[in-house]
Amino acid sequence: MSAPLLEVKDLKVEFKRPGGVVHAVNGVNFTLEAGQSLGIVGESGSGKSVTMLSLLGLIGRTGRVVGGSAVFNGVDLVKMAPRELQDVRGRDIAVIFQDPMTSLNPIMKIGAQITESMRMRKIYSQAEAKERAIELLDRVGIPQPAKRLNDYPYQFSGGMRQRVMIALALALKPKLLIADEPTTALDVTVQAQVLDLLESLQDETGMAMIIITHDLGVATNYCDKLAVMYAGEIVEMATVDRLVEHTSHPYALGLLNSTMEIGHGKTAIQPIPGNPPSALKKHTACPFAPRCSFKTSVCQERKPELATIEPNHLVACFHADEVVKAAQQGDAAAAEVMLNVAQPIHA
Amino acid sequence: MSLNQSTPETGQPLLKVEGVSKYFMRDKSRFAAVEDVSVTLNAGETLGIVGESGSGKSTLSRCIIRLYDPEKGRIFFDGVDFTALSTKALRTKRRNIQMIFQDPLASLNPMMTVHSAIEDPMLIHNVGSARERTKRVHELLELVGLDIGAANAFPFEFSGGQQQRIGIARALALNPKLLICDEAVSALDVSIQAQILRLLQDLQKQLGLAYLFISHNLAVVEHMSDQIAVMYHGKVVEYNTAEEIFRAPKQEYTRNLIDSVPKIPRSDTMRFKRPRLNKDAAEAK
Repeated sequence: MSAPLLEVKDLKVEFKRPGGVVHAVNGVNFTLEAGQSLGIVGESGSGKSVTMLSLLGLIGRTGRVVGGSAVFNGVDLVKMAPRELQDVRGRDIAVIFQDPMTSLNPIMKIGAQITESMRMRKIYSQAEAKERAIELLDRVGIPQPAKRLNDYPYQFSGGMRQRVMIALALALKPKLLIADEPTTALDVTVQAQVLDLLESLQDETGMAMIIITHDLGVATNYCDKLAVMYAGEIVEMATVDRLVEHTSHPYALGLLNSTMEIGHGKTAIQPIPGNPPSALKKHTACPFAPRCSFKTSVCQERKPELATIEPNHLVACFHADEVVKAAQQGDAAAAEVMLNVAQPIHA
Repeated sequence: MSLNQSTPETGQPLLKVEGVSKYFMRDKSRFAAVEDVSVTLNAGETLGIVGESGSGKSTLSRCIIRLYDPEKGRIFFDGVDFTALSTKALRTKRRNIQMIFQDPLASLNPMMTVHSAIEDPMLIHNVGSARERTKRVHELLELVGLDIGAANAFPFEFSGGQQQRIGIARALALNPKLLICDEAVSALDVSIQAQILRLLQDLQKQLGLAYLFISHNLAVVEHMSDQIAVMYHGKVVEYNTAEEIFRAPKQEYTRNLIDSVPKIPRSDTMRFKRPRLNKDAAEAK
């Protein structure tokens, strides 16, 4: 078997803050094959964005990769000098962010922004770059692309701006596209359009994609494989159907139950109680235990390791068997377990 | 004490919007942000307003509390014609309608402690003594699932979900009959969204609140609503019970909205049989 496109091993990232050290990513492992799409799912502060941005050197001056490796296309990104990394960014790995208004330059015409990476690397002549920009805008579904090259970001709607961002990201035909909450700021109807576009672009170009999202509805529909992150660690990783049908981590199950789907009517929503733990301390026990309805004494004494329970299915929980059962039974009794043991969300 | 007011029977009309239109000028011509909208909301129930950005849902809610004066139509709240009220009369009547917004941090004064933010509406309306107000602030904090200790902190010290809880506590300070939730959970993570929605569900049951629940996400609206109005280009294109809207959407546009909500692909359609909220089974916590 050929080597994976990206192999991340035991990645650790810390931030220095006045209050102490923030342990943002605490030993993350995953691989991504060429052309595959991986969803990284978790709530704010779970380390999902930092994991990916740290690979590209985009975590600012206070952030630091303190351990591990990330081999992309045969080279370790963690060991790269900033200059070399700059060459990788945009050409091999491109990123799109949640808010296209803040990631596009507000006082630069979008044509100039899309051709910037092409011009800087002198791959295309001025005229060729312009041609390519028109082609890209057309491909991402912007009407009258030649005319719109001369428009500024504010002249586009939110959904259209995200399409411009995608065109910009694809300019140099990257092998990997990282989409960090690409549709969180958009209406659901526009969200569906943008995600469908990303999916068809992926089919066309064969690029790999990592979608970072807090929404399992999005992740399960547009990814092959999912990694659920909690407190800076992957707690469950599996193919989509495996994760949905055999959910084995209580947090992943809680996220599934928190996802709003059509067809339930006016029913009582079952949220995960409590809040995520502070990232200022290192965990010696299961970080999810305080919010977990399956916890026993062992969860408060030791930390469960991410272990393979099936090929392509890893989970870090002492009670994975019970969680699967509770998730699969789907009867009132299982619901009771979830409903009653969990502490009410407001006392 | 004036904090306790009678709530009209659940199921009786609390808010009646009749043929409301609101126009704005754009590029030197008049366009209708809201056109000929008629909807009714019963006490203790939820009316969901769903539509995309620019469909007029927020403009409608601003007309209801008369932040905008509608050009046409009438708005009855609790039997009183809001559109005919003087500014002064409006001020006393409007306390029964409160609002929570998409960005809780932007809607809270950054210079005010949580205590003063929640006490503020009571001061404005001259409610209770200082001691009574403090007691009420603590009551409200508990009601929305926050520690009493939160009172002395500032809004920025809290997470997005907690900030929205503070916004809800402030909105409830005067015991309103109607809470307008304008994209109240759209900026929150799915897990926090679920917590806030559950809180709103519990508060409705506990306090008999009516909600005007505005969102672009039909799945969220479905979990909250008894009736749903679908808005498109300022008009209500479909208006029915939530059940009917999802069972048999009459408009292509509504169907489109339903289809754009991502469904988790699974072989069985339901993970848990969830208890219906309107029935007694809703006691399950």
